[in-house]
Amino acid sequence: MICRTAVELVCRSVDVRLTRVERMGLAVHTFFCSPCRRFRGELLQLHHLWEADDAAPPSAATLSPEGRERISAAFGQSPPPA
Amino acid sequence: MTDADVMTGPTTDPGSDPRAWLDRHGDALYRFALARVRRADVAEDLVQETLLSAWRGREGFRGTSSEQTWLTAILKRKVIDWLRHRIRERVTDLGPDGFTDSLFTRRGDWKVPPARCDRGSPTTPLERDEFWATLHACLGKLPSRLHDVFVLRYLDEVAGDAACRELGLTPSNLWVMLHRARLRMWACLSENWFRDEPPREGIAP
Repeated sequence: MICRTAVELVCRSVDVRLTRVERMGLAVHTFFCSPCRRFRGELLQLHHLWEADDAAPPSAATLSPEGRERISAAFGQSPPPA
Repeated sequence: MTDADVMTGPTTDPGSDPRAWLDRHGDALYRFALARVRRADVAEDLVQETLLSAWRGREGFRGTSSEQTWLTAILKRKVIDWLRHRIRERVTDLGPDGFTDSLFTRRGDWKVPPARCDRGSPTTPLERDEFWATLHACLGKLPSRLHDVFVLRYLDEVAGDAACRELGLTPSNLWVMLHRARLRMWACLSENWFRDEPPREGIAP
């Protein structure tokens, strides 16, 4: 197996179950290939972090004043702020 | 899941004013949307729709989650719908990928094998903030179709055949796009996180 194929299988393995032949090929390749082993470790780590990304990122972005006004106006039917 | 499903949220007294939600949560909701749709106008529209849906559905609230969690859940559905729609309307054939080619030799070996990394998953709160900022900066650099598919995958856990059909993609197209997106994200984080000793400045182009 070449590194390029190993990398592709690592990426696919997080979405679907690889075939037995693919799993064995990948296991053998990563046993001997430390760059691909590193890639696999990092990609799996990232995959778990990506799955946990369920929040707003730390950033200073805010609604524009016009956007805020527009949204506020869209509440036309609702009572004014107390 | 529909709006109705996530409308079993909190909250406060139903008589509260939606403008108070806008004041309290508007910016956080906007940041959530902007990071995932990358367009300020769309993000603002989605925040507006979210607050209006929430307001219309306020009678059904039950105090089982925080106000912000509940609003974010409604927004998340709207972001997912927007991304799905955009992916569906821009289905095209995938050409060869120059980026993947740039990482490997003609024989399929690494051109620059990943070196030992300087740090792993973020642990301290400061590191976590820095990691997420780096991650979102990398996300910002993905080509738009790959970006949409990648973000949808992690918001909605799209992967099955039904999800592909709904997006107008074949499973193999979806995997190829996810593979390309992950490889780019890994390369960007590899350079700007794993192999970048803190403190750092900016994100390399």
